[in-house]
Amino acid sequence: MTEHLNRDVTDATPSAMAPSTPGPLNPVLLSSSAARRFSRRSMLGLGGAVAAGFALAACGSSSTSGATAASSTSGAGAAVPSAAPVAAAAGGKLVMGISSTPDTLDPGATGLALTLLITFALFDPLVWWLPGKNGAASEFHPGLATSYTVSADATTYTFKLRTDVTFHDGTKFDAAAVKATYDHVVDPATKSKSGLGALGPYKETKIIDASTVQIIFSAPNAGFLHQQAAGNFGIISPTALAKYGVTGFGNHPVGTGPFTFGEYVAGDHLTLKNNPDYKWGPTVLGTGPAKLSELTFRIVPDDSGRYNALQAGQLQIAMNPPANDISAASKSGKFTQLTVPSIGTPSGMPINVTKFPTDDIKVRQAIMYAVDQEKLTKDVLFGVDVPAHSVLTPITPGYSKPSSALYSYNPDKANALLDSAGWVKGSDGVRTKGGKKLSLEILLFTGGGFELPAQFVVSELSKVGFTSNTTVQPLATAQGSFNAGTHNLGAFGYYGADPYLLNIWANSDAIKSGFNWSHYSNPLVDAKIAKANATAADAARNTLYEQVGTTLMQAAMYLPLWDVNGAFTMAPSVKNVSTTLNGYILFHGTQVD
Amino acid sequence: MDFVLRRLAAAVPVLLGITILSFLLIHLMPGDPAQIILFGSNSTPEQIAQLRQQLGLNDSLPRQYLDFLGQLLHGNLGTSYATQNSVAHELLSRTPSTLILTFSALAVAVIIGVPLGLVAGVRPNSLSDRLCRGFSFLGVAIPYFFLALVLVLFFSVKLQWVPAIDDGSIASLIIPAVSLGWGYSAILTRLVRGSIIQELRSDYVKAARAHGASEFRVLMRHALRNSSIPAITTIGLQFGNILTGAAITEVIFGRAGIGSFLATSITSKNIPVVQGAVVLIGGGYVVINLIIDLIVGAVDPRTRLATAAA
Repeated sequence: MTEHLNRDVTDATPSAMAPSTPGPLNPVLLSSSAARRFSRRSMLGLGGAVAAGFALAACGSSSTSGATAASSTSGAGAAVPSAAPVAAAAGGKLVMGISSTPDTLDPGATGLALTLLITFALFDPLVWWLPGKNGAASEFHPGLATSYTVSADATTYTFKLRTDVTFHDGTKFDAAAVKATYDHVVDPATKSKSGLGALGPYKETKIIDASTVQIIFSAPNAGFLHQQAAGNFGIISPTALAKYGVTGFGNHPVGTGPFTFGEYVAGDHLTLKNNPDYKWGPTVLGTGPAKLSELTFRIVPDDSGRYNALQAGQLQIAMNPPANDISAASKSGKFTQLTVPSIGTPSGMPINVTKFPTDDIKVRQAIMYAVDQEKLTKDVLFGVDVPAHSVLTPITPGYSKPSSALYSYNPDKANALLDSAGWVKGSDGVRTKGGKKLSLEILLFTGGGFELPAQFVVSELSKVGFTSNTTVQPLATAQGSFNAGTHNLGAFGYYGADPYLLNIWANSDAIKSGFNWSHYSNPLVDAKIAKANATAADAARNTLYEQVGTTLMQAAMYLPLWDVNGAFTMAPSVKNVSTTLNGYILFHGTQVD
Repeated sequence: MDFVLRRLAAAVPVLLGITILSFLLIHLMPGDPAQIILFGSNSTPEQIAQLRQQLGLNDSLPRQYLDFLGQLLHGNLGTSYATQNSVAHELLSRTPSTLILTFSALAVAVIIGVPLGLVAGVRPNSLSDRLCRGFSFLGVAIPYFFLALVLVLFFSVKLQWVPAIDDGSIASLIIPAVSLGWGYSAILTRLVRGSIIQELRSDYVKAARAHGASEFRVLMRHALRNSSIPAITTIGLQFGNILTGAAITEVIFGRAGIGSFLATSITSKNIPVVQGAVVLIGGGYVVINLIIDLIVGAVDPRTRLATAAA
């Protein structure tokens, strides 16, 4: 899964992250049975079906709900660290430039993937799920829970909780806090977006005793362990929730994380302070309190502006600067580039299987052969992103290698397929059949980042005889158009911690109002996704998803283009940044020299 | 007093027009607001319909407008789709930043434009005139956002003299204010130059000179004073333009003002914020024009009479 992590990622992994380093957790638990339990494979083996839904809306960090800020607040009523410990002070201060304003700082309520970058510093999940070291598979690590068991039907998850954890406001962490967190997500007043979708068929949280809690689903939910770690279910302080109210909590976030909420100036910046009491982070991220004394997220919507500020020394990390700046930065050798592959679907173009002429599988397969993803990522995306060839990204569980081998760039094959389908090339290079041109309607949405890649695709397709018409609509309008099926090719990309996300864009139920923008309907796929969701065994579950992936690729219903990455350009002074599975970074062990 | 009342009364229909336009935004922009709000939450059609009902989107247009106006009079601009916070609060918290930028840019425009216009106007077609006009031409010719980028690359990235993005310091205000103000200084230069030339040829200047007034006194006391009326009017008119320019400048420099707020809200279709910002900016524009008229009226009584006679 880490095959796309470049060397910088590995370099950035602090030596302190070695699992052998004794952590604050009970080493007996970790080194014996719990260690086994926390490996991903055994984890999934315990699972059942998922109804997890998806995380975070399409199109990566460009937000759908985006841009506004909570009001200017500070303090949070949190216990302000009286004195930063020596270790923390030594780590310096870090300022990172991000592209848009968080919609809320409540991880359970957010609809914006970017928010999780911030809330991961404020809140801890019950169990962490992180990339393995040096290319190893992703692994589960203890978080606020030291161990857990999953019922055979994957409806009941029992977590054994740490008893030494305190929230930033002094509240003691216990089972009641877990219950408050999950109940908060499903509370209609919370208006939860991605969290609610990721939680699936939640029934209730049952407090067994102060340090034991059960999360119960009304249907099997094998994907829950992935989902609970993906960021939306950082455990929140029930005291703060009661104090600030369901909607006020987003302006006064109180968690157990390595950083406490400091100051938030609407639309401008957000400052977090070191939590000197923090000692319950996963060993793999470094032990004890975070090293940074202060962590500031500065909101700079202009992509070049972030890179300029990095060059001017105002920022130590610029998130997602323009691809050409990333390219320039790596050539200059002055900055470190960290590229984090993401989990879910790659960015690509759903192909409408019901609209002429893409209702012909030969036409669709010709499209698949005609586009060179390697060239696209190299020339158009400046080598920042990774070429994609399947319906899931490689780090996503259930990713199928066979499907990725189905199509490699081969314009001759594309031409042959179109010839055999009866499309004749005219003198202008455009193919016709029965007086109709081989013409594609391409529909993009504003802010999706597809403008340039789509131009590349259009040019590639024109070489084999397609002519294309591209339109761009605002996302909400485009969604309606996609569901109505006015397009041949669309634009899509999704974060999702579990392969069950296939259900929202390959299931026939999702054609009219969901994300099945390919208008693909196959009862066998529907059934197989459902079966995978109800399959407890890890290997069997993944096999089913791999089969679904291969079927979808055979049907040529999606043109994968590039793996959506989080791109972080960093000053050389920044050390020990860890990565998450959803394309972000963690600051537990980070320091600025 | 009569003039002030007349002027105030004239502002009312304009303000109403602004509210109608901004109200219509929600209906002119494509997409269902309820769907936008619930986007990404796996909501059912029933939930969307329920939210439409809640938002009053099923009422008749005039009814919705009157509700909107009623809320507006209570200072309620609705709730941001993205954050569920009060739009009025969010806009007001960003207003000072924008006003500071706007007034700094105006100050830059005046500081550069008025002296240049004066120098240019005193000796028309001299070398100094041509230099001043060339400088002002440059200001108009280079788009301010391009100027901003060039200034940042040179003074922030290369020389590291001033911050590249807003960090709350006055230093970080310099490049945005200069890049935004320079273009308007050009307009002022040309305006002041033209009026000075005209005034210096007028009879009262000749009369003043005949009375033995020094050239400096003639220039400052008479010519400049009379030139200031069109200048003040122009500054007032430019205020709106600068506000518009502030939107892009704020995005480039990561400044948390209503301009960048409006820009990002447009791309995310956060309609209540766009509506609120339009009302605020449009209203502010009307108020500024009103103030300018009153100032001009105070400086030059003739305009007052002209308005009264009309």
